[in-house]
Amino acid sequence: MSRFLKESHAMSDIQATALFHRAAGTVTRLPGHVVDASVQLGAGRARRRRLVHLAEAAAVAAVVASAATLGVSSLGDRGASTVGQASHDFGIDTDQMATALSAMLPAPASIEPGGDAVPGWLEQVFNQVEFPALISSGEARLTSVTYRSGTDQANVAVVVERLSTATLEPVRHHFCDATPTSACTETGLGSLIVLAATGSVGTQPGLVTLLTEDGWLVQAATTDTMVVPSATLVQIAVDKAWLA
Amino acid sequence: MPDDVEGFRRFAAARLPALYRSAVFLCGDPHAAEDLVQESLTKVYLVWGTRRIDDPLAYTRTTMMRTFLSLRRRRSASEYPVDVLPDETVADPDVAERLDLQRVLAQLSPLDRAIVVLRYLEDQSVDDVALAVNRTPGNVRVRASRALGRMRGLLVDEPFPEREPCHE
Repeated sequence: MSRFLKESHAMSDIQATALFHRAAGTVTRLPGHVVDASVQLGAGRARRRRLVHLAEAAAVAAVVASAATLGVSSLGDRGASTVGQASHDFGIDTDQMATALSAMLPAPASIEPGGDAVPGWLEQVFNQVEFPALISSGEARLTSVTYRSGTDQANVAVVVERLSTATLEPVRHHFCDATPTSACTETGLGSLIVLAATGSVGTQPGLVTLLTEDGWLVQAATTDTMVVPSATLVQIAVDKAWLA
Repeated sequence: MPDDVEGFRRFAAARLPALYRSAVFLCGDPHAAEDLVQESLTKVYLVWGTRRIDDPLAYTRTTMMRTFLSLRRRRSASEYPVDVLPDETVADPDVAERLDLQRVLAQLSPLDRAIVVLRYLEDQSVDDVALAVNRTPGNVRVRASRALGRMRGLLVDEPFPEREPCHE
């Protein structure tokens, strides 16, 4: 039994502090140059992630026809909050930002409201998607949108559900910890978090889930994963969450 | 690119040992700790010189704690450290003590681990800990007390379960 475990039978704050300090003294030093170099690489990676988020934000702005979206979007993390800041970070002049963003976006596409009527295909999509057993407040809305890109056209089903605050953490856990295919990402769009994005794998319907910290669960799903990019599903879901 | 790159390098070099030590106790293994320090410093690097940071160390510490908690929350199967803390015999009693401490910490929740590390390794006040982990001071007090109680109850003859990974 170590000295710590003997002490721990009656560990006070002071003893805990002493223990931590003793133990910390045995940690091998990390060579400074390792982190110094990797920070540079990491910064590059972070910029690329944020550029994708910026592109998503721009697309959302177009979808909801709200210029204000970009202004309040925290692009990728809670640090850069304006286009000007992003311009500085990415080394792109502000007046060139639109061009740079356009290059990041998928091919020209349009997303049109499909109304609140529930067509048969929508029900079919949701029957194929495995949803977790959620404790819902009972406030839910099922809608659809039509995605068009060139000659391609696809339907996307969207469910917007209000959760009680108490159910957020179990839902988050379900997607982030218990679902092996989940890709949890903080979008930086307000309090939105991308919890799960699957699709383009076999015949599995594409599914994007967003969980906002104020309790909205938004899921966008399609069976046409060869037509609708995952990023577009994200945009649609964000759009709906934005309007929720 | 931050304007004051040299300033950042000096700051990172000076604070790296302390940040890394804390990360080791948070993550439980040195490789995950390196990743956590790297990601945290990267975040600080991106805002360095672009905004006013009154206390860079506190800012970095808070960034690291929130990164740690966030990574734990959105852990995925994409990366899974396979090395678990070895149940090894170590000649140096101080090193053995640290390994015991790491094993006990690994059984706390990520939030409790962050609180304990901030409070007892970094000697932070309850208020500062609360700020770093985004909880109320009262909640931090209760959690710290319970965590110490839990640690107290973890005896060496109990088998230690495998750690959960620190990183996604």
